[in-house]
Amino acid sequence: MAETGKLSHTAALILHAIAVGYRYGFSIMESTGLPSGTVYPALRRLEAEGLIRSQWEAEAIAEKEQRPPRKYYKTTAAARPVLEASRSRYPLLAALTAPAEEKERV
Amino acid sequence: MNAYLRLLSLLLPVQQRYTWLSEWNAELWHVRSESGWVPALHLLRGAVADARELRALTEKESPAGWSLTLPWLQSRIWTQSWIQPLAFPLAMFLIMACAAVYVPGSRDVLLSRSYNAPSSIVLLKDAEHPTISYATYAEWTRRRQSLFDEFAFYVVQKRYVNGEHLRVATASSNLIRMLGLGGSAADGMYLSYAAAKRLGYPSQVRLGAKMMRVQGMLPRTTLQLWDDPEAIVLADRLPAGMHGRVLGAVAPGAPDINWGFSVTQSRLPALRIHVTPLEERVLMPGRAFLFACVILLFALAGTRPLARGNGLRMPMRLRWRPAIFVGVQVLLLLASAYLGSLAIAMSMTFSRPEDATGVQAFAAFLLLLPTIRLTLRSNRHRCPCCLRKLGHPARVGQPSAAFLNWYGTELLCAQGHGMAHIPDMPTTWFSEPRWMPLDSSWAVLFSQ
Repeated sequence: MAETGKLSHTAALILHAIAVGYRYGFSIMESTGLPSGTVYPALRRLEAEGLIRSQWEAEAIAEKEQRPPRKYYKTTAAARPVLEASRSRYPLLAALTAPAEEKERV
Repeated sequence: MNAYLRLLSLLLPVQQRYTWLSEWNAELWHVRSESGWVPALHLLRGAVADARELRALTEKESPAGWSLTLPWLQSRIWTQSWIQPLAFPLAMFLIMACAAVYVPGSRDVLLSRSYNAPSSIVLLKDAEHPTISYATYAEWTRRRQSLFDEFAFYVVQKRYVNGEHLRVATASSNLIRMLGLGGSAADGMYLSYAAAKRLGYPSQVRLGAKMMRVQGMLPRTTLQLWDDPEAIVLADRLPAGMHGRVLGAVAPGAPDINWGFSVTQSRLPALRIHVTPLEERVLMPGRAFLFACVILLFALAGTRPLARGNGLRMPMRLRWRPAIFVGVQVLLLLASAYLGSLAIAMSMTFSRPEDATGVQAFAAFLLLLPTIRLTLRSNRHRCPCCLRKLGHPARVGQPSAAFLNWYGTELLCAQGHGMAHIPDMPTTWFSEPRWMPLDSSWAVLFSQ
């Protein structure tokens, strides 16, 4: 797990975006303004560090709506202290990412 | 898009490819259907970084255990600092070589011997009629000439050679010698490269009812005589009524006849003769490429300057390695551009090979300018010891204090070989970038 003080600003921003309800890569890109080449590798790193968890959407739902299933991300319990520390370290974090709409929360 | 993702998935271990592809295909599908093609293309740009990250994470988790299908990719060689910068020119070279071999015209040029046309030989054409009669040619050869040393005549007819229908030129016996393709005239037939290949490289051929010995092969792809003969038969005399093509060897010191000239004839109106130097109809890929290289030298200097920091000032013993490294890349690019420009020229001017020279020079220039510039730029800040790109830039000083202190950027070799000092505001005492090697006492800082 990442030490609370060592999360970079970009990683903290992405973690914060997931925490406020952005659940998949492209919505995180749009909310943070970061490019795909930054967001997707960062998601892998955050997952490897145990701060977020990915979950494939149920096949039945995707099939019903005739689209491919999507991978969603969620923060873990371990992310909470890291997020707190990041928010105090980067006070503008909340201002940079607006909370997601209900639809986005799934 | 799918093909691109599939190609990228080769970077990943086999067991992760399917999941990674599903993830990216799903993301792309959603983005494309919700936002359109442009955001989907922007999204796709991150796929490389993501695949590399996933590969790195997998490697970290099981350093010895993970494997790729492509053995050369998984090998540690790929991670060597000098391999990746060489990959682009090498890939370009392979692609261009394949293109040059695939395009028939360029393949023939590469495989056949090169031909340098004698600069004195010109093709002569009557302004009124495309051909000149053998009688007129014979009269010219008898007359005392001031412009020409000698003339050659040929007429092209479709004839059967070993059962194949070929364009056969019956020519005066001095034609081959005048073209600089052989010594004394020999009785027999000269075949073009393509015709010889078609007939199975014979030593003897049947022309009509007569058996003839094959004396040699002509560089058909590089020698473009009018009517494009595929075979040449030499003859001492031809029927006077025949109409054909005439070549002349311009005498040394003769006045310039490039605009043509008039020939007076007894009891007949004067002939207006057009002149075409043979060199203009001969494809000389080497010369066209050399011309493009010369223009490139001016263009490289004339386009946006390569900025300060081209070449660090460093001890002589450290200079050879980066120089060789850049040299190898540039050589590969030059070879690629030669092959690529030849393939482009021959595929675009297949029916008129005499136009290929200009197209080839233009194509070579277009291929070389961006690639050489890119290579020179990407090699600007490299560590002379390990050839890795210098990183971790740090701004030092302030522009307002440049009078008393230096103001610029420091770049560091991640392996701890040294630092580059690049002045952002050149002063009389610090105008060029400098390389400062770090000795072993600094190694402790770079142990990671």
